[in-house]
This record gives sequence, C-alpha cells and structure tokens, in this order.
Amino acid sequence: MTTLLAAFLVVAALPFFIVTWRTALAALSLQGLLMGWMFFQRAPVVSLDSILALVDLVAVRGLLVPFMLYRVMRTQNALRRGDTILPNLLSLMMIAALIALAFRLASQLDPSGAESQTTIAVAVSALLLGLFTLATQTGVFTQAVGALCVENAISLFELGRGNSAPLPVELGMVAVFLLSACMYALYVRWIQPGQAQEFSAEGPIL
Amino acid sequence: MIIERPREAPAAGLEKASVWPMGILVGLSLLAVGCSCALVISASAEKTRLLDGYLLIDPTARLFLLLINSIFFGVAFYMWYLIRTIPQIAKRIKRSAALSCAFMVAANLAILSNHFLASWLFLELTTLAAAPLVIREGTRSSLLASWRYFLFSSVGLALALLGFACIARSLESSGSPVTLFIDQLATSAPSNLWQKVGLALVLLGYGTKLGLAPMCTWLPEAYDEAPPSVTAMLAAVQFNCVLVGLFRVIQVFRAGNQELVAAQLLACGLLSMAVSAIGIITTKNYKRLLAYASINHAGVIAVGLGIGKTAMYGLLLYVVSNAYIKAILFLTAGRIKAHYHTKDMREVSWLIKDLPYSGLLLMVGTFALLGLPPFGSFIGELLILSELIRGSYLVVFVAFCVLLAITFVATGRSIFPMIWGEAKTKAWWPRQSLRSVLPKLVFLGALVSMGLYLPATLNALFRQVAASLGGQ
Repeated sequence: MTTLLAAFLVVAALPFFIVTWRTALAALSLQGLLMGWMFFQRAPVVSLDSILALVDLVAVRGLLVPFMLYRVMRTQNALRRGDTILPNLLSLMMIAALIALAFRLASQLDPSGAESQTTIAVAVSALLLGLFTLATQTGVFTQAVGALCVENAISLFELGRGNSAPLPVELGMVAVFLLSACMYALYVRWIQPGQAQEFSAEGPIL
Repeated sequence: MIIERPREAPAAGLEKASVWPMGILVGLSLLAVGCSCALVISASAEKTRLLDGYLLIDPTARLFLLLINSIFFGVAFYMWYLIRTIPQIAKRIKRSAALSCAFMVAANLAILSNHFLASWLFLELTTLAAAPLVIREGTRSSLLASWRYFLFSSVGLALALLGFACIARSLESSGSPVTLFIDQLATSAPSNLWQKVGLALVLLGYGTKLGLAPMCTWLPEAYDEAPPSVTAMLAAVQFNCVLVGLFRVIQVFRAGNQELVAAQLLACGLLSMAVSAIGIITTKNYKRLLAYASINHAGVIAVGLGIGKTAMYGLLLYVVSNAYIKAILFLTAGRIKAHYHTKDMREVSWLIKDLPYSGLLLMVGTFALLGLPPFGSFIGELLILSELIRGSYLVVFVAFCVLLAITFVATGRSIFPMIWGEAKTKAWWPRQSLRSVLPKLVFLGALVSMGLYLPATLNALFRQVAASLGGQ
C-alpha cells in the first residue's frame, strides 16, 4: 500500500508540474482509482459497505466526475493551458514546504511510524495542495479541481481507519458528493472566462 | 399638486397555474410551523429518538424548528405575495419553489439529525439547494457570488467532515466505541490530540458557513447579490441550522471540559466583529452593510459560546432575536431596492415618507440590530457582557465594547439618513398594502415580545437549551 500512497502523492502534485487542464482531470481520476485499489487491498471482502465504497471511489471519483468536467471543458473548446496552475519557483517551493509540513504533522498525530502515519501524511499533503490551489487561483475550473482534490484527500484520510458511518449515511454522502460535483461542472459551464459583465438587464426578483 | 398614490394590486391576467407552486410551499411551511408549535407546547425536556435513532427531538431541536419554520413561513408568504403582484417572477417560480422546498426539508432534517455526519449531510444539501437560488436571472455578478458561496460552503463543510473523521479517530485511539450518534457520544467522548484537531476543524468548517472570520469573505457578496427572500433564508434559516450543528458539538464535547475550544471561539468572535466593523464603516451599499452586520452577529455569538455559563441564556435570546431581525431587514432592503433601483445608501432618503412601512421596519429593525431596548438582542448582549465581567475576561470585555460601539455609530450614521434624511428627488411610489408587509410585522411582533414578555413555555425551553449548552 505504501507504493500506492507514493503514487497518490505524485498524482496529487502532478498538476503543479504538467500544466494542462487534461492533466488536472487525469490526476483527479487517478486519485479515485488509486484509492479504489487501496480500499480493495485493505478490505477484499465483498459486502454492501465495500461495494458502495468502491462505487464511490472508482466509478464516481475515478471516472464519472472527471469525465463530466472533461465534457464541459471540451464543449467550451478550452485552451490546453487555459485556467491552470502556472508553476514558478516560489509556488514549487511552497508545494515542497506543504508536503514537508504534512509529513511533520502526521508524525505528531500518529507517532507509531506505521502505514497509518504515511496515509495521514499523504492525505494531509493532498489536502494542503488542494487548499493551496484554492487560495492562489481565481479560475472556476482550477478552483473546482482544488475543491475536488480536498474531497479526495478526506476520502483517503477516512480509508486509513474503520468505518464509523452507518450505510444510509454513507449512501447519502456519496449522493451529496455526486450532486456537488455536478454543481461544479455546471458552474464551470456557466462561468466562462471573458464573458460580458452583465448578461442582460435584470428583471424583478423574489 | 397632490398626486394620489395607488395601492398595489394583484397582477391582472395572471394565470392560476403559475401561483400554485408557491401556494404549496406556503401550505407546507404552515404545516411545519404547526408541527413545531405542537412540539414546543408538549413542553417536555426529554429526548425522543425517531427512525432507529437517526432523528432526535430534544429542547434544542424544538426551539430551532419553531424558529426556522416560522421564518420560512414568513418568507414563503412574502414570495407568494410578490408572485401575485409581479407576473414576470411567476414565469420561473416552479424552480424557485422546488429548490426552496428542498432547502426547507433539508434544514429541518439537519436540526433533527442525531448523527453528526447525517447533520453534516443535510447542511450540505441546504447549500446545494440554496446556491442556484442566489443567482438572479440576467446578472453575472450574482452568478459569481453564487459560485463563491457554493465553493466556500463546500470547502468549509469538507473541513468540518475532516474534523468529524478526526473525532472518530480520537474515539478509535482511546478504545471507545466508534460512533457519531450524538446521544451515544455524550457519555463516552474522550479528550486527546485527535479530538482537539477535530474540534478545531469542525469550528473552522462550521465557522465558514456562519460567516466567522477569517473565512467570511463569501458572505457580504452572497447576501448582497442574492434575491432578498433568499438572503433572508440564508441569514435567518441556514445560519441557525449550522449554529445548531455547532451547538450539538458543544453539547457533546463541552460536557467534560467547559474550556474546550473557548479560546478559539473568543478569537474568531472578536476577529469577526473587527472585520464587520471595518466593512460597515467602508461600505456605501445598504444590503452589504446588513451582511457585515450578520458577520458581527456571528462574532457576538462566538464570544457568547466561548465564555458559556450564564451567557448561554442571553446568547440564545440574541440568536433568536437576530434571526427575526435579519429576516425583517433583508426583506425590507429588497423592497427599498425594488423602488429606488439602487443599493447605494446615499441615493436613498426620506424613506419614512416615501415607503412608510419599509421606513418604519428599517428603523425598528436597525434599533434591534444595534441592541437597543426593549428587544431581545439588548437583553442578550447585556447578559453576555455581564458574564464577561463576572468571568474576568476584561481584555475581551474592552475589545467587545469598543467594537460594538464602532459598529453602533457606523451603522446608525449610514442607516438613519436613509430614513429621515432630506429627499434628494421627489418621487411618488405606489402605496404599500398591509399584506405586503404582513410577514415582516409578524416577525417584528415576535422580536418585541422576546424583549418584553416571553411566555413561560418558551422561557422554559430557552432555559433547557441553555442548560444543555453548559449554561447556568
């Protein structure tokens, strides 16, 4: 599982090095698929809970959500490097510092040094990278990707421990994540860069 | 020359079919108010579990269900009245009614939830329902405000979710049974590093939704851009649902340690009050001013929660009063904007003559907003201040008083010229009918009664909720 965690970390940092919107979506997709793999390794027993978790990680986070955003970006004929995180020395140093901070924090929270510590470190790294994206970017697509990265980081964090939520609540959480992702895709479609300030004259409102 | 001002009349030729969605919403909200009243009148301090323990009816749920449902009924009535008088709105009413209904169902379930994650889930659903409602057709600025509202809310709630995951880890690491059912956690919550991190993240996440600094930047924009009825729902309904979420956390984790997250709450509260004071001084937009005042309220509430003890009763009075104040003021601001076609307070004057009802409501609402007697907000602030002195929080007391004084002066200086200032342009508006201001007058009645006379049943309910929060 440590190799998969290392792969997750590389994938989370990838959009900061290869700056195209397709890379950002591929990274999101790989995060979901890697989490699905990790989950399968950890709990290969087939149950309703594990099927739901796999559907959430692989089908929803790994395939459906990135594909939805891909369709929107394709429809808009988005530029290859449009609305992406442009790297510079300062931002790359910040990324390295955030990852180091995450590992330090994980060692404080879980001093056992076991795999659970690495899981926490990678999850916190992905969380901080997502928040860093949100704090530094203004484009709707990049911000949506940053928010989804934060959501994936929380999923990874929860992978490292036993399940505490009953099945109906888990089901609701998957549904809410899917609805949120649909909203992100809608906003990316609605708010196109360079659009006129006002669409038309405003009418009466409720 | 005297010009007769015509009364507002229902739009002629409006098809019956276009009003029914809002009629259903009004009916449902009335039913919800009736159920909430029945729950309050039952006057039981006991907790009732429903649906395998997923829902819990306790004094906190009773009080806040009555609060949010009464406000939602007023807002739904206001929307129904507008649709009857302005046919253009009726065209897109089905979508608004459906989303408002979903919002209200989710808000009720968020308050009733007995599981931290279920409560979180329903709060997220209120955000999903409210975000499209913030968008005003034809304005890109409202679309951007809706986006920022949705983004901040989602990220804030994601942080709260991470906080709950940390709390689950704290239970796991201490060998306690891992459950996030609120009534089961109450007796078994241990205290360790995971718990502290978890609680800080929950506070940060829910604080974002409440508009607490430093994550409050979405709030002035969203409240300013959203239609008035939606702003009232966000400020008076959703705010209180999130607050109940925070109350639940405090009820569980403060039981063993009264000082838990007290310092963080005090810091967030004072910072929010400072941010709001600066915003109120600098803005020239009356709707945005009210939004900054909401940040101030969130700050006062955080300070009250931070000090606890006898401040809890005052805090609850303050919370309930402010829900009605915000509903009155945001709906009135919408009315003013609809007539003057501007949100610039320098362009609005002589309101008390131009729009007598709106002028009066803005005046009384501002008095309540500023915490003047005889309103509940006055008693609430007074109790919080007295607990600050009793608890020897002298630095906090001084900062609190200074920030309140600045807010008081800046708000009065901006709002009162709108009400009494000399008219800049002579204009005659259609006379407002009593029905158009009825919901606001009912809110005002509730607000005044809380300061002058609180029925024994409600007073007992306030005391039960205050006691559950560690109040004395």
